[in-house]
Amino acid sequence: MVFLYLLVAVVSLGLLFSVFNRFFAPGWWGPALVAILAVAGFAVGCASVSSASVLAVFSHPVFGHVGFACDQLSAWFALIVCGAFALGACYGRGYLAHYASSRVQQVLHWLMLLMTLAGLLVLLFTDNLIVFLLGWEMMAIGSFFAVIFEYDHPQVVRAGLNYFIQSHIAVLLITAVFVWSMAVTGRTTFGGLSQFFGQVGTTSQIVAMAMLIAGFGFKAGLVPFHSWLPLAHPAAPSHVSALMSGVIVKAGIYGIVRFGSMLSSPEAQLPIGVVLLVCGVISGLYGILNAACHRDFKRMLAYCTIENVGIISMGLGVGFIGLGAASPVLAVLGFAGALLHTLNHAVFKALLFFAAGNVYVSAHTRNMEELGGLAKRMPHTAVLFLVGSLAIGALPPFGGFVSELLVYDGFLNGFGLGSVPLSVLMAVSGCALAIIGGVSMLAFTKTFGVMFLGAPRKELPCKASEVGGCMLWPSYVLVALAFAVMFFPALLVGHLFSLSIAVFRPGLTEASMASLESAVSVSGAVGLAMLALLFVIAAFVALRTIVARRRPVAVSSTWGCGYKRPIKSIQYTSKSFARTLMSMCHSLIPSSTRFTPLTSEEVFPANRSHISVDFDFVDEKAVRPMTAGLLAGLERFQGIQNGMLQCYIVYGLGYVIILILSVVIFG
Amino acid sequence: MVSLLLILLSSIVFTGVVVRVKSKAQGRKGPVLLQPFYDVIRLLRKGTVYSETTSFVFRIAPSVYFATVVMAICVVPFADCGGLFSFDCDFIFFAYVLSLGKFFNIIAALDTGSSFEGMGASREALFSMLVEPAFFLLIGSLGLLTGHTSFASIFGMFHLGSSVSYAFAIISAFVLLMICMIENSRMPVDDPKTHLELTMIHEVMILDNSGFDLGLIMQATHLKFAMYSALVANLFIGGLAFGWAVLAFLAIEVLCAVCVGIVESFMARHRMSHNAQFILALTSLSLLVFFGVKFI
Repeated sequence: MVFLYLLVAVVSLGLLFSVFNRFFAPGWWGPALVAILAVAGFAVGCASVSSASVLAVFSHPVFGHVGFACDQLSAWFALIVCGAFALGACYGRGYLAHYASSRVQQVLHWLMLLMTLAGLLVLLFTDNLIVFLLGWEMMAIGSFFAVIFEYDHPQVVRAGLNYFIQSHIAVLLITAVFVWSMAVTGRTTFGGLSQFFGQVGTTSQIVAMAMLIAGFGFKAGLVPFHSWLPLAHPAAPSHVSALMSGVIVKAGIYGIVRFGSMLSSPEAQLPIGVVLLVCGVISGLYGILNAACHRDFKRMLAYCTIENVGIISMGLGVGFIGLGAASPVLAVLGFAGALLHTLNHAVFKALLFFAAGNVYVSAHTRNMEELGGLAKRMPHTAVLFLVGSLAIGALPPFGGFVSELLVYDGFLNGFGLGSVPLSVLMAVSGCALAIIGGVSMLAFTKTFGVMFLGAPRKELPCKASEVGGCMLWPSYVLVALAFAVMFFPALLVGHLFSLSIAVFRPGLTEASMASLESAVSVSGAVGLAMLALLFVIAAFVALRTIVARRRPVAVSSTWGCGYKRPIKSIQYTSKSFARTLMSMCHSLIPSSTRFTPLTSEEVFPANRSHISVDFDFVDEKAVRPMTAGLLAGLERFQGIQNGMLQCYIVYGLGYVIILILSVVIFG
Repeated sequence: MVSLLLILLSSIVFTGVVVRVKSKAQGRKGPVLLQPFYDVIRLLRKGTVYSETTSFVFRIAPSVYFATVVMAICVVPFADCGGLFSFDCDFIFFAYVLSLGKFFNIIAALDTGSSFEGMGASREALFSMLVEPAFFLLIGSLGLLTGHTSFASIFGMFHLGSSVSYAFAIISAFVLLMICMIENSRMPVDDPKTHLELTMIHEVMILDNSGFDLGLIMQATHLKFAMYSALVANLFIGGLAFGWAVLAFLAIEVLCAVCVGIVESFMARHRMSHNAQFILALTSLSLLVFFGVKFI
């Protein structure tokens, strides 16, 4: 109960401060209130890591039984959400100081960020379907306003509205399932929904769950429901992008896990698992291929989020297939991998967006083709971005490797499944994950290399310089977290195994228990190997430093293969780096170029320009035609609203006549 | 531990054997077997020239690259006695550690701001991406065959007895050798001895490295050759007595070097645009092994 009072108190304090904003500077109370609420949520999460704790229970005439409790699953997500929000608030304070923004803008921004966090905590802790929807709505509206911080730019508002509309299509789908369940069981609690899943037939279970996956998939950014993501992330301020990508997107994952765990029949779990796995593979490949090709670095990170949500969804798919195929080891490996990747992705993506924000505030561009050589001007940011890039590619010695290893382990276990189509699906998905790893390396070497290395490609309007402390130390905390997973992988993996067993109740046998225990000890060995890797790297770097001190060192210009006058513009750009890959999958990554080629008549060529624009395949081929069709259809009804008073009187008359007729006929 | 020592030992002469075979094929006498090793020693003693555009990344990258190769070798077993580190799914650790090294190599190439090195970096990233699924699927299928997922138990259990397992061993050896050639940027995909930078992959990435750093990179290449050949050798030495196994291991290392030399002498480099198809064909071979294991 204390926590709920605190939540209400903090939110009302926020409202109070915004009303009297003349006396209270939003740059202080905003981050402070968000951080206080985040710390409180973190404390609740910590207290319930091993056993569930009940926060409050009451009964409401409309909502029915309303309970607030924090079980292991909620605790896991609450820890991720609150940690990210606390750091994001600190970073945001420094970040917003670089904007010439009005006081109203700042007040609105912090109030809405506070509401987003409050909504997230409500939806994580509640066990009532209606309250869940309320929390969901608070989060959706709050994050919409947080995204459109720069509401004086039309493209920002357009991106924000796109997000707003798509997140409400999601709400519609989720609400439909909830109403269906309430109609069948007459209960408004999560217990009612799981009773619903128990009562209805297999087909209805699959349809209901598929609708939930589609609804939560909109929030999580699963392909083909992702098209708001690459628009909203670049439009939002960087700390909001970090929070959107790190935790708000994960609310969708929470929904899938929470409501998926209520499925109890294997006949429903198996197809849902296949759907999630296939969706995950497609999202992963689609996201990372787009990330490799886009030049706006925040948009690139947004596509990378789609990729990582894809990997999480693959893990969930493996888990559900394990449940459906009565292979508990597979189930636990898949779910644990997905949950661990949720944490890892939140850490790395926040780190990357913070670093990207540092670049944006000091270089004032999001186009990486205009950057270059920032490593010398912004050494801290360069190191942070490098660590983030390595970690997100699941390269050891960072935590991402452990979570992908669990998913790989799941796939390898799945090779041995009795059903041939399933084991082939596992093999293909494993290959897809390997390809995703490879393309992710291409995407991030490109982004890091083009932004931070080489020579500046263009004269920037201002001199880019390193940012101050408040924008750096949250990132260093995240770096420490990224390393920390290396030291305690066995602890984390063990916890997640017991969490997945508690939530999904796979029928464990002695043999599967033993192989899970060996998987925990393997993750310990992985941690040791990663430590050894770090040690070997440090040893060789140290050796080189010592040796280099004794040898002559000269500095000269880059070897130009005999070309004496290298200029900056001959460097490889991000477009040229990804060109071969793009031409290999040009049908998936449509782009248009505007360029007049040189003809033989043109003896003295005039100056010419080359413009290329990348599109999102799904947005271009599915979403836009659909919305255009909808608009065209609705325009036919425009004649109704013609502004003529006579017509409106006729409408009223018609309505009254219909009423009278219906009373006469039915009454 | 045994495997680490044997791989270090064979890396000293591996490239020497390759060069000797190539010389014989061209009717030349060729340098002494240890010449590549002497080259490395000489480079390690030299001073360094850095490009003025480079940052800290360029300075640490060769050491990181070398360290990752050493770490990957620590995972490679000697038949059923595991490497220094042996755990379930260690082959994924192996692949990802090598990726870490490649990551640093690629960004170091981009750090010089040279158009040629950027080109090499782009190709390296693309081709190594295409190799990943072949390796995963191949070792994964062998894991399915033997019921284990660590290198040591896969190779320990992979006894050659039936004709089917010979077929698996031969296909796997071919795929592993080809992966080795691609990872080291050798003949069918890349020609390190070409006179034109435009047609290279790996060599063009390290144009600006010199001295100690270049020595490390060269030695890392030798080590990678020996490491992949050790994986090939492991397919065949399971179940042999220790002494024979060591002999067979060294013999297979030499045989692999001879194969590399012959391929380099008698094959031409593919066109760059054909490389992708060639590399993806390896994945389909791995898929063949997977289906073979699944259905036989």
